[in-house]
Amino acid sequence: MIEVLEAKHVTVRYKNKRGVHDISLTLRQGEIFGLVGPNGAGKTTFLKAVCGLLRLGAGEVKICGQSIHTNYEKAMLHMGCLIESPALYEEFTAHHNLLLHSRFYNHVDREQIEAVLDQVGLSRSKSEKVKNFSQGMKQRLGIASALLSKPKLILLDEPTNGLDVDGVIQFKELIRSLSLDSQLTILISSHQMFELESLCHRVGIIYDGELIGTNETSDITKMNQTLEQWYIEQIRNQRDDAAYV
Amino acid sequence: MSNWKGAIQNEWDILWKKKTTKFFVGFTVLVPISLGWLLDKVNLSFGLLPISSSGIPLFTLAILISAYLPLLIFMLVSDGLTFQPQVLKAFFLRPIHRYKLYCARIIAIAGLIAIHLGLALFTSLLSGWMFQEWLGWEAVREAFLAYGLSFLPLLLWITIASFVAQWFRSQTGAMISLILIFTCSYIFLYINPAASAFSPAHYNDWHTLVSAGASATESILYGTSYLFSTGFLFFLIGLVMFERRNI
Repeated sequence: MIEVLEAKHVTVRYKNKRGVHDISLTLRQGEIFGLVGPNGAGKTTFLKAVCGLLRLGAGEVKICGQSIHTNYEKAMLHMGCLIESPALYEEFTAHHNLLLHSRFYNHVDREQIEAVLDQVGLSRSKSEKVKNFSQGMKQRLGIASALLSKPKLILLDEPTNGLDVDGVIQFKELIRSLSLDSQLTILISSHQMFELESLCHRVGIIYDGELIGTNETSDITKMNQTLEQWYIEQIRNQRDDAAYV
Repeated sequence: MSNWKGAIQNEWDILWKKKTTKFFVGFTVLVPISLGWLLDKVNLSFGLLPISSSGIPLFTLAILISAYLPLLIFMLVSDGLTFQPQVLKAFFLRPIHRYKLYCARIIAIAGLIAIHLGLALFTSLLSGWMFQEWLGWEAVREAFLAYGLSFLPLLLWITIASFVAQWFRSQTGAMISLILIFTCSYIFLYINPAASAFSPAHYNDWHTLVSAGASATESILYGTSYLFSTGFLFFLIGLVMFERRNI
């Protein structure tokens, strides 16, 4: 199996001493990996470190074998991201927003822009200005922007925020088909356990800046547990260990 | 498409999409036309001509470089280069180095300022010709030289503003600080005339030195080196700060 993401000993420290510490994670092609954890645990920080928005204190990140540190442009060619809320130009139409992003890639043409707009269900609104979009529509456009370059890895931070029920169902179908048909590797952080359980091949828990456990979702269900039960158990064990120390 | 070209094209699109950009371009065109018309009226009413037709391009330039274009630069830079994570994130997640994005923003703003100067030159020549008389090829050459040379100090203000903008998260904060710095650099000229050569405001009308010709060779050389070295210094510090941003 090809390793699309290799994160080794990733460490980021903020001035308030929070951040992430010594996280290592490898994702294979076509894998959907879910990151869960309490608020402020370091999920978004880890994603930001992987995509280069934050400078690493220590460690290394490679995307398809290209280091994000030494070969940034080549590494980013293989990655699409939706981190926190989508970064969009409100005065531009949905189509023009994607056109701005497409200019950084040689292989993205107008047909590809139309295709991703269609994938996220925004074809009919492509000529509307983003400032008139609902939160859910902006989120869809953010997902379209992440998919635009046909990347090998996409990072999605709370991707279903603001999506209605139909939007969530469509999103899950889209993610599944991208993983199966296009062999896309997906790293999702979310608070929605049920959503991750039905979508991810593997999940990991970030707690207090550390990756305290990873497991196959199929193994969790084999133990007759829901993801939520497994999560609670892991967090409790961690707290007990911390109290014992 | 190379990502350099893409980045510059994007910055240009973003600049041009703003209503204020179009408004100020319109205003720049209107300044020399209204000036020509006003002089014509003054001349007809009072038989006085405070400025000749050949003076209209230079008088327009004086208005532009003394405050109007620097303020426009401050507005554009504080809008595009302050530390607003949501704005910066849009292109930081793409396969392009940050230094290219920084340069692209500066190039786009410098390009727009060059267009303002070009439009003002063209309309001021036209205005002088329409409302008064043809000013002659020598005056046209002088006007071209003056407008071209005025671009250099404006470029310095762009690099200074880009550096200052790196310290701010809000457009308003950056804008107010830049206006204060600009005002102080003018006040400094009067407070300490002996050291005025260290103030960027001293070089706003730098073109007059060059127009003076050989008699000012030393000042021209000093001015050129000041403009380039200071501009390069501010550009580099701003770039390093922009590069090291954590979002």
